[in-house]
Amino acid sequence: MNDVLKYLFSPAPGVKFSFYAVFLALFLALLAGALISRFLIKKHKNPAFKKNFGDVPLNLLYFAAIIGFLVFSRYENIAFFSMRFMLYFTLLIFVYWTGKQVYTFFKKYKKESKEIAAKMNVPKYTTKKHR
Amino acid sequence: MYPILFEYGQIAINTLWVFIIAGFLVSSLSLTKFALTLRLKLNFLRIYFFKILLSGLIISRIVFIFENPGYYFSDFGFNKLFELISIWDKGLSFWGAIAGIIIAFYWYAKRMRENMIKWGDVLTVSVLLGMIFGYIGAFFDGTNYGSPTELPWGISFENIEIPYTIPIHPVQIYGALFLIALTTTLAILMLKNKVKQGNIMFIGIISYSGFRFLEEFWRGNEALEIFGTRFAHIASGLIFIISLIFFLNRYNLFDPIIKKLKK
Repeated sequence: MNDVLKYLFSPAPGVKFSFYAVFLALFLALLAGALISRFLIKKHKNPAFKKNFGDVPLNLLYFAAIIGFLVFSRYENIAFFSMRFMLYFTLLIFVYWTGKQVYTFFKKYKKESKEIAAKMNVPKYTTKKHR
Repeated sequence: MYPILFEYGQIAINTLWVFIIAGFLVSSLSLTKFALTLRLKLNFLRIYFFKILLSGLIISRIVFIFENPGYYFSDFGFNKLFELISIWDKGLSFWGAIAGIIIAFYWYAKRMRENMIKWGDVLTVSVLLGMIFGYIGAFFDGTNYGSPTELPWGISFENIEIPYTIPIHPVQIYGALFLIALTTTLAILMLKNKVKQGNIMFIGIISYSGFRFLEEFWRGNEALEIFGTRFAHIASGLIFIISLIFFLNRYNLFDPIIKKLKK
């Protein structure tokens, strides 16, 4: 138990880290994801899509900035910011957030877009008799 | 520690300044967002934001100059005059900035007949949020360092400006963690409308000045002393007491005492 705590909470675990390339790839992927999602949201015409996923580009950018900063801190061996716990905790939040987006896509978004489509099919300027 | 973020020839970008700018941006954005959520007039902010900020900067510099008279008034010449306005030498007083912003804000809000209590709540949360970045920047810069400690989280700084070679208290990290907890709590309370208007401001000021008073015991940097007491101790202690009196007065807790005194 003590070893696990030491491993996670050591203020300066050293510059040696096997996952620099992985995290760099993740950082770049998040940046690219932010750009692509921004473009997709702008192009999408469904209001339910904008409502549910409008924050995605900005959140991806925040994650990229935090992960980039923490990996940079590890590379420069800056105490506390290079702590393993910080990086793993950020990853955990990222995984939770991604899961939430997937859940929203399959449950909430599909339901809402169906409702909107149903509303759109109702002719706006005809009387109930002619519908 | 990482005082210089980027260096190319004569150009050097200081990490502390990068964090101060980031803090300022985050603070301004949150101020706008909170003001919109609480339905405050953004026009007031649009007109006076720059003036309020400039007053904070000027008073902060003036206080810092008076805190270090030996350096700025040792001799008189063009160079010294230029040094008085060289704010990039990191010579800014935190208490001066707070005082400048509060005075200017009070002045303009009264002139425009704004709801000062509501604005105070929003401003407190936004300023506290921006200060988190200031603490992190100070940690990277190695300024406002702590006193020696034997605690397991004590860290050694490699900097010629820090006189200790043994592990010291990471006071900047204590401050950042405290402010994260305080800002989150206050923001939730404010947005959920759970407390009386104005209490967010008082709770924020009382909590931070109380923490700042305690933090000063763990500080190891040289500071201005008045009668053997650090200036920050006096300032934070006074602010703590005054704001606590004002806060308790909101609930008429001093009424029985005042009545007795009048009799």
